[in-house]
This record gives sequence, C-alpha cells and structure tokens, in this order.
Amino acid sequence: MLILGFLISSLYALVAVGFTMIFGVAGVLNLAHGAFVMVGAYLAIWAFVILKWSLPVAFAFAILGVAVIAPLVYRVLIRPIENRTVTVFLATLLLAVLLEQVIILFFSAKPRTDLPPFIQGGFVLWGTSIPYNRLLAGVVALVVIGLLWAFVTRTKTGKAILALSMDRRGAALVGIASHRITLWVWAISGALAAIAGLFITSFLGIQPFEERVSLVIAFSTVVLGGLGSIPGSLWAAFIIGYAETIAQAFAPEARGLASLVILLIVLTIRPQGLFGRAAT
Amino acid sequence: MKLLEVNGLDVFYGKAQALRGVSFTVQEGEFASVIGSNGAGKTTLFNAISGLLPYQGEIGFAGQKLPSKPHEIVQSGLIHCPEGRSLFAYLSVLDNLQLGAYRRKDREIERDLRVVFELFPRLEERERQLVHTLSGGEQQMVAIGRALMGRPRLLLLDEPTLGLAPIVRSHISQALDAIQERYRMTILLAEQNADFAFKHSKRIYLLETGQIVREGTAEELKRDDYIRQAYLGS
Ligand SMILES: Nc1ncnc2c1ncn2[C@@H]1O[C@H](COP(=O)(O)OP(=O)(O)OP(=O)(O)O)[C@@H](O)[C@H]1O
Ligand SMILES: [Mg+2]
Repeated sequence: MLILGFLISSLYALVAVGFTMIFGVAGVLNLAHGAFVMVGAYLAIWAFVILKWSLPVAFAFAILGVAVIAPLVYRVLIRPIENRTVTVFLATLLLAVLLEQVIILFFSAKPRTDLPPFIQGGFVLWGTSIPYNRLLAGVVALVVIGLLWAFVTRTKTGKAILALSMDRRGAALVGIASHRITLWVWAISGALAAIAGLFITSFLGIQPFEERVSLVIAFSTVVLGGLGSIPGSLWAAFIIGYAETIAQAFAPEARGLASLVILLIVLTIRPQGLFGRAAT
Repeated sequence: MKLLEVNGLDVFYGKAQALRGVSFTVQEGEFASVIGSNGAGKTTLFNAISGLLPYQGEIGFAGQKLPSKPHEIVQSGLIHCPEGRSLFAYLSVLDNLQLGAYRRKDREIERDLRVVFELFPRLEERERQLVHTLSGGEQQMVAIGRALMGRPRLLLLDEPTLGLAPIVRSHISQALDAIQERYRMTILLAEQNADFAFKHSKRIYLLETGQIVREGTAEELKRDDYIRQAYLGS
C-alpha cells in the first residue's frame, strides 16, 4: 500500500504541477485541465485500438497531441479574453464540458479498459504485488518532474517562466514576451496531463466523466500546496495520493472525495495552503 | 542628437485623462529629469513610454518610431527601472540580474555583470540570496542593476530613492554619477524630490496634473521663482 500510494501520488503530482503552472504563469484556473488528462487517454486509445498503431507510438502521439491542443486552447479561446478573470473561468469550464461531450460522441460514455499496460508482469514486495506498469508510471512521473525542475531552474526559458509567475510587469520590462512563454507553459502543462492520463488509464481504465475526478484531484492538490507554489503542489500530491489510495482500498466510490476532505481540514487550519505565501 | 522625442502624448485611465499633450525631448548622453509631486503623472508617462499603457501621440527613439510592445522596446535599448521595482521576489540576486539581459545575445553580459557588482559590491556578497529577503535599499540596487544589465541606450528611472534612508540614497546617488560619467549613458529620471533631480540632471521638465508646465536647464530653473518656492524649498 505504501508503495502503491507513492506511485499513484507521482501521477497526481504530474497533473497538479501542470495545473499550478498555468495558474502561476497565466493566472488561469484551468477547469479543462482534467479534460486534458482525458483527451490524452482517448487519443492513445484511438491511435492504438482504432488506428492500430504500436503502443509507444500511440503514447507519443497522445502526449504530442495534448501538447499541441493545450496551447491552441490558450491562443484561440483564452488569450482574447485573458483580462476578464470570470469569463476565462467560465470558458475553461465550458471547454471541459465540451470536450467531455465530444468524447462521448466518438467513444460513447462506456468505460474503456482497452489501453494495455505499457509493460506486463509484476513482482511482490513486502506482501504487496506491484505491477511493473505502475512502477514504470512512478518512475516516469518522477523523471519528468525532475526534468521539469531542471528546466525551470536552469534554462533561460525556464527562468522566464518563473519570472513571469512572480511579476508580470517586471517580466515585460526585461523583455520577456509573455504570450510566447505562456504558450510554452500550456504546452508543457498539456503534455504532463497527457502522460498522467495514459498511465492512469492503463491501470484503471477511463470513462468520459473521469476528467472530473482528475480535476478535483488537481484542484485539491494545488490549493492544498498553496496556489502557484510548485514545491507545495509536489508535497500535496503525495498527501493526496496516499489519501486516494487508502480511500480506493476501502471505498472505491469515494475517489476524489478523500482529497476534498483533506483539503477542507488543511484550509481550515492554514488558509493559504501548506506552502502558500501568506498574502502581504 | 535627439534620442527620445515625445510628441503630444495623451493617456487616459478610463475617462480620466492622466497626461495631456506631453511633449519633450532627451538628447543622447544627457541626464534629464521629470519632476512633479504626487499624482502628477510621472509614472504614467514612463509606463506609456515603455509600452505598458496605451497612449495617443507619437514617441520617437533613436530617429525611429518606438515599437509598441514592451519586449520590442527593450530590444531597441530603452530600459525602464520602474517605481515599486517589480523584481522577481523568489529568485536570487544573480538570477534577477541575469534576467535583465534576457534579450541580449552579445558576449559582454558577463562584463556588464562585473560593472554592476563594482557599482554595488553589496550585491556580489549576496548574489545567491533571494531578493525578497533583501532590505529595501538592496532591492533598489538590484532593480537598477537589472536595468543596467539590459545595456540601456536610454534608462528610465522612476523615483529610485523613494522611501530609502539618507545613507542608501547617497550611495545610489553616487552610483548614478558613476554610471553617467563612465558610460555616458542617457538617463531620464522621474522625481518628487526636486533637490535630488537638480543635483543630477542637466535638463528638467516640470509636470503638473498631466501637463509639462516648465522646462529648461537645471541652471535656468533653479532661478525660477515658482520652482524655488514650490519645489526647492528655498
Ligand atoms: N491604474 C490607474 N487607474 C486609474 N488612475 C490611475 C492609475 N494609475 C495612476 N492613476 C492616476 O493618474 C494620475 C497620475 O498618477 P501617476 O502614478 O502617474 O503619478 P506620479 O507622478 O507617478 O505620482 P507619484 O510621485 O506619487 O508616484 C493620478 O491622478 C493617479 O491617481
Ligand atoms: Mg510615480
């Protein structure tokens, strides 16, 4: 259970970090983030099951697909209205519903479990059987997060992303083209969501309403960690990951609920979240 | 040669007009100041010039029309060190300074970093420290340093000594003298503190409720009765 919790958590971390990046850099609470997770999964199912591409190609296609769709969403839908916070909020909500419906139209609302594990088999550790696929998911998630960390703290574009999240005016005055950087952030966020979606689907299957669970989890993680704080999201992902794993074991219907309960408790004690910077 | 040429600038906040037909020029190599009290429109003027606010009127820079987007303006060599600093609070001093050179591709970035550290040795001692943990004076040094890292042809400085202790103010004052003497940089300063502006600049513009009401060399305006009474307190 301990290990499974850790492996699941690292996928939640992927979802949450993408969500928090868009909030931190663009100030957008992207309610379609869960839909990006789902679109990634369905793109892979489409490529693998219907087009009969090989599994690695289907995975790559899905990740690239969402990494292209997400910045397009920003460019076409969000950017024209980006100064109107409430409108943006509603637009992302509408987009989430729309994507859900599009998927139902093409794939019906039935759960799909035909995306196979990336690798078969497993092993037993301390009495728990651990499929290799879950191990792989955990490793991939951690490596991706590590790479992302190196990217934002070491490269020039990465630092521009951090700068933009800290002070938009300052960023403009050193010559950072915020719209270009924001496109990058949406692309990265979309790719992370897709990666999580692929693995989650390959162990749990997926259905169109799944995006709501992903969104609730991403949302709780990000608020729990402190809105906009990337280290905060990572810690929160692990807390929520464990809560969800435990909830899953005892009451599978309650998936998504556990995270909300934790969120409620923490926010009552610490309104700015675990790592949030208290408003100054 | 005229480096900056502002012609008939109008800026509105909604229906309220904050600048009314502001026109002035800054010569290459010159230190000029816009003085004016609270709410006169100095920050509005600088924000319009650096592309943060929409305006009507014309702005020419180095003989060409100034581009409209902030990053293009930075690229053309007009760098704005803003009121309130707008630093990247959770990045280190060094990261902040290096981001100042974000648009540059030349090989002299390292050399300019040395120059900034010579002007403000305290920043070198604290290069790894996160900016939000610095004192106000140190933060102002980072803000000026970051602007210098953009290698300005024209540096806009908005109230660089606002709220600072006298000793820090004189330190920054010396740094401005050094920058101007050594690098012949063109500087446009916005100040409420007329004494500070007169000490540094050759040419002065007085802004009152969004309009330029006096202009001239520092020598001339020092003798102007109105300015002496209302701004110089002597
Ligand atoms: N964002 C804004 N929205 C509406 N009005 C504004 C805004 N910013 C400034 N103003 C108004 O425009 C006028 C000029 O303000 P500005 O900040 O340019 O003055 P300033 O000369 O820089 O003053 P200070 O020396 O206090 O910094 C003021 O009347 C101010 O209230
Ligand atoms: Mg001002």
